[in-house]
Amino acid sequence: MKKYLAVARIGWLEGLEYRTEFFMSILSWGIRLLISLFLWFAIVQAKGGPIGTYSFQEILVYFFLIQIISSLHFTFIGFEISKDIHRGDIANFLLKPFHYILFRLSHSLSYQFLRLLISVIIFAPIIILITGKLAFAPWKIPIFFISMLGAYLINASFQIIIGLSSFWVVNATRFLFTYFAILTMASGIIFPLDLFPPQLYTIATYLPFAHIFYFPVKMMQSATFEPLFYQALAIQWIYVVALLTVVTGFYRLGLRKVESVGR
Amino acid sequence: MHTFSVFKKLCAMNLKQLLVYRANFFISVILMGAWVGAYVILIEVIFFHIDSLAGWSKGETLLILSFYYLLQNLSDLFFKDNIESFDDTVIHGELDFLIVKPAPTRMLAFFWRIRWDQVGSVIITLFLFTYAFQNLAQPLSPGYFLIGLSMVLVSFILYFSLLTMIASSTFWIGRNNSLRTIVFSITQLSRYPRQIYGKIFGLIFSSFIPMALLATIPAETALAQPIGILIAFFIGITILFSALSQWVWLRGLKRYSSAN
Amino acid sequence: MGSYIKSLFHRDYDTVKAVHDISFEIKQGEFVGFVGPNGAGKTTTLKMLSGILFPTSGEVTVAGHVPWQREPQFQRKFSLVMGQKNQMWWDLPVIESFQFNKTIYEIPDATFKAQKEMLCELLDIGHLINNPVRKLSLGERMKCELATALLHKPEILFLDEPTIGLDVISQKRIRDFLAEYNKEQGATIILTSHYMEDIRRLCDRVMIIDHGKLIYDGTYDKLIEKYADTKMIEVGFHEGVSEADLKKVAHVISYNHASAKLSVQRKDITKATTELLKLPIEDISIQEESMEEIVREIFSK
Repeated sequence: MKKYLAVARIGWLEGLEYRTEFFMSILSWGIRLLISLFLWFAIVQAKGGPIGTYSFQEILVYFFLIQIISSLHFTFIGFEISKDIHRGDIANFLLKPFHYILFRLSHSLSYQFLRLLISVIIFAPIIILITGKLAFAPWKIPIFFISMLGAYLINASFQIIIGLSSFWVVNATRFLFTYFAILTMASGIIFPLDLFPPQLYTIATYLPFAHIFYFPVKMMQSATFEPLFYQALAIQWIYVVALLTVVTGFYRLGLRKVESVGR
Repeated sequence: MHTFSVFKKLCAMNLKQLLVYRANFFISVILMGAWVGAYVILIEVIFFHIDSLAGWSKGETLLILSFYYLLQNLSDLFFKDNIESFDDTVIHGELDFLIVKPAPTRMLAFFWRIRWDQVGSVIITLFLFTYAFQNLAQPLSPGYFLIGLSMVLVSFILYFSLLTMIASSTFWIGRNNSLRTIVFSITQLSRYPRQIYGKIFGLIFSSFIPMALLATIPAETALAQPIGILIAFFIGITILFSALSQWVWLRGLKRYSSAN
Repeated sequence: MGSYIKSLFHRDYDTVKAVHDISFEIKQGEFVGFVGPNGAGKTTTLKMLSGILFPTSGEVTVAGHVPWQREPQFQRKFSLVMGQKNQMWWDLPVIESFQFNKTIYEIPDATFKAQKEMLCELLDIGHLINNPVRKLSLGERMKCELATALLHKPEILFLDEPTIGLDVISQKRIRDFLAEYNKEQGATIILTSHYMEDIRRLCDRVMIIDHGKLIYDGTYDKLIEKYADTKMIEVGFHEGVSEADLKKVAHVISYNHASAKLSVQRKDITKATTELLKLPIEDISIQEESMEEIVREIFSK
């Protein structure tokens, strides 16, 4: 455990080195959020009232919560794994006394936590201002942790799996971008999924992507605990277990390839 | 003249490289399809609830998206890669080799890699245009559509100017891994109808950072909307930013040449 | 027409004066070596001569032009090649990079054909030019780099560490080529290096730059005579050789339990070697003095 903390520390220090880029990326996110808010304001104006179940304030809160969550999910881990495999560096990592995947995760984690912290500091007060109260019912805290952890693991697993596919495929980075495109479509990151026509909404809730953004946000935003949330949490964690299994499987298969060819 | 033959040669060299990267051709079509699909779904979802967005119908909004992607196709093809990796070019000293050659340095720097393997993505954009046409209340007049396409050329020049200014920041900032994210974020400003930005920001995004015009103006032109003055403004601002970006580039180059 | 360069450089930064107080004149057809330790200012000088950098103060004229004005007529008169830095198109056959330069430098067909044939023969790369650059070895790549750079018949060739990282045979081949090219074509060649061997073999004239200052300007022979009158011997051993043993034979620069570096006067090399071989040493190698040693000696005199 201690060694992974050391790795996290290195990731933290490296993050500090790239200060300018860090602030640049915050600026970029800011621009994208701004565009999103303009768009939805225009939509709500055109509707002349709430769109779906969302008033403009509720849309704001939704997207601010998305900002907070996506700052945790934002990672380059897929690209890093892909690069390590392509360059043959992975052979070096395998010699070290730690698990390669855990290494990559802890390296990235400190940076992700920093972004999360900053997002919470910026957006939590704004959300409280808008909703007028702390809206922190006691049931939310454990649910919050469970669904955030599940979301984190699903997203990380997908990226790791695609990164590991570099063992067999030349251009894994393309698939990473395709994954991001799918997230854009079906995870709730650019629109609340319950704005889908009912049949599409049902399909979306069964896919793993909805459990990375939409459901965690929904659970945080909702004032009451809806029965749907039980089902959502169950589905989320089924996906977590399934994906972690695939990660382990891919990793073992990949290792065999490295060990036999000896890159 | 010489500049044009250098440009032609860059096209030819990269075309020969295409044969080396054949696989990318199909992958880029799939990738483009996924991204376009995501945003078409967004528009469908939006128009499931409303009839008009800041005065634009579904078909018209799709038309803007089509022009947006056409511009992205062109810029991905010719200069995007070079812009986004410009900090590498400078840091690794490759810029030096471009400076000493008897050919325009800025052209060599930003048109060095021409991505012919992205040509396939235009197919997706064509599908998008077709889908947009199907959703329009009235068919477009071919004449106005052609003028709209020529507006895309103006957008191309303006977009190139803005992006080279961003890339030139390398001369002052140095290593800059987030060039990619900044370019992507700023580009998003052109995706939706410019009218969503309201009065103040609408002005900002139409003049100081004229991104909002890039896709909307060609669409408004194709729809034969009465924006004659706006078109003149659009062309004027393109000329202005073209000169400005050249000036920024030269200042940056001067700084690079004395502070290596 | 000669290359006339006179400059007094000064940087405003409080950190590094990269180049400072350098002044010289180079005539057409000369083969000049800029030598010096790493970070001495050799590459910076080259960049000023080719117009990549301009000085804070001073004058530079090359072939009648001011380099950083970057006039195309000037740029067509020279070529810049940097060791271990690749200018060719990586995935395409070498011949394509040739063609690219033909367009860039507007080389007439006849000149292009003649130069190509001549260079392919001199460098022995005729069988390589249809291969993609990425498939070439380092030595082959360097030869092709030089060919690409010389297609437009430049009057001046700027070379920055051209033999760095190459195996011994490739180094020799490139040196042979450069010597011949300079003699046959009369091109002015300015070469930077931290290998004395490059200089010994190629340069009529040596300029030593250290910490941005020109500390020697003259022929190689005079340099050796005045400052590099010693050679370095490196010996390796297992045991049974003490520092005292070595001190009896030569001046000891460094010593540890497995190896030692000695400095010996040129005229005493044979005698010293004979004495050393009487000791239980396992390995011996005789080298030119390092650049650092020579510079140190210049400063001490």
